[in-house]
Amino acid sequence: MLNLAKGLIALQDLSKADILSILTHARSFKQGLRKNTLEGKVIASCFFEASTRTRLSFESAVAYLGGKTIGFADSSATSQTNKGESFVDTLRMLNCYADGFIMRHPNDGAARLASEIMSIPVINAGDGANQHPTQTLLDLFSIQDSQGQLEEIHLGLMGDLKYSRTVHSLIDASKLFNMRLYLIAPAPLRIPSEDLIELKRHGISYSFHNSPEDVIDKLDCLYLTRLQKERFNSEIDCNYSINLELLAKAKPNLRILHPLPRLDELPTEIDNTPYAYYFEQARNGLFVRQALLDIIFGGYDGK
Amino acid sequence: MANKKIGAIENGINLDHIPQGNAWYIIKLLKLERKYPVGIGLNLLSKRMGVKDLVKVENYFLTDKQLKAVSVFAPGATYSEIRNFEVVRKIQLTLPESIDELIICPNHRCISHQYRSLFRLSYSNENAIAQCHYCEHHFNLSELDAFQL
Repeated sequence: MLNLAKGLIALQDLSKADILSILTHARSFKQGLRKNTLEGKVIASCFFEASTRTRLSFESAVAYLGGKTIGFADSSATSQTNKGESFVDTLRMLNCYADGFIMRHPNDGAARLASEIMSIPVINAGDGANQHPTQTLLDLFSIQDSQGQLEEIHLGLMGDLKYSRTVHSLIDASKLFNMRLYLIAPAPLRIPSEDLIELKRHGISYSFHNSPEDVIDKLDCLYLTRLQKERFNSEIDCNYSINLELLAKAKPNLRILHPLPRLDELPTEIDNTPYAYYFEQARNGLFVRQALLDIIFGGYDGK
Repeated sequence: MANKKIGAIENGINLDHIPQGNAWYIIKLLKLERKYPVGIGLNLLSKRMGVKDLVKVENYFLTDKQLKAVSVFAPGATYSEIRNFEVVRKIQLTLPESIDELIICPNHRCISHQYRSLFRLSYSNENAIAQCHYCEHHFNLSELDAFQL
């Protein structure tokens, strides 16, 4: 039985059945379910690092469920920054002012620490390069929603496969659903060897490609990420973009996903094709977060 | 207790059956380089292990916390305390499942630097692997170079 009374810190804290229950509940919200689970409740939404989509979709989800949010969109105006208050003291204080805590933080492990200090449920909205579980849930929901299933999907992952947190988490999740992975990246940005060892251990099929042209006709979903140029030497040939010509060879059910924000890798000319799913994906974030909040605070147990 | 002499140590410790190559980590961990008389044996033949390392320190004893820390680098080793040429305590070390407030996480972005350190330990391909409870990064023992003891 699904029990998230303590909140959600990392995807690996969830079983496959838990994930499927959350996605099913998210579908109900997408189909119009309205609930007042958070009526009379205050949720602290604290972003020690800025994030547009994640913060707004969380706060929107709280509002749709009848709750109120307090918090900040970046930490520049807080006592922690201005008066040197320790992070742990900030957490203890917030614990007294709200019924739940949604946090984005630049340091790895900050959400796990918060869940140990606080007695209210903590939801990790991204801790450094470590975990961003609601992003992975909404990515899985988007794959399921656009393809009708999650099992044995042919998934292309393209761009920065080395440093991208979303890609790393999605690769982790792909093991649960026996996906076929096509890893499209320049050599310096290929996936870390630990991830490959894990894929082998779970018997997941994967292949490496230098260009999307080699595999576009095989894919059900193509997950693109931004090349974070600040992370590596810009001497790499960074021409990892897609275009309309490439998509002429795609299967009709292909859907393109992107965690956004995008740069040149995903030109606007794609936006009006049936393959574009990334704005719908961002919209799905609202439903997945509503479902998660309803499970945590409303005790919905997936039955 | 039998009157068993180890080397020429009158008072001190003997760490035997240390996995080959790990004596250096223990010296560094206990900061023994410039203190106490230390005897180091490297690449000694061992019936039990094939090849082993060994560390003896005079006029020095380990606290329980230090012993747990040494266990990370020397699971399977034998720790003997010698007083007046007699072995008064003998323990076989085992790898602890977790260890707190000892290893400083090598990941500079890890939140543990602002609070406390906690590592889980496990074996992978015969090597001990330390995973930070907070940032979830995995480290080989050779990557750990800062400790709170």
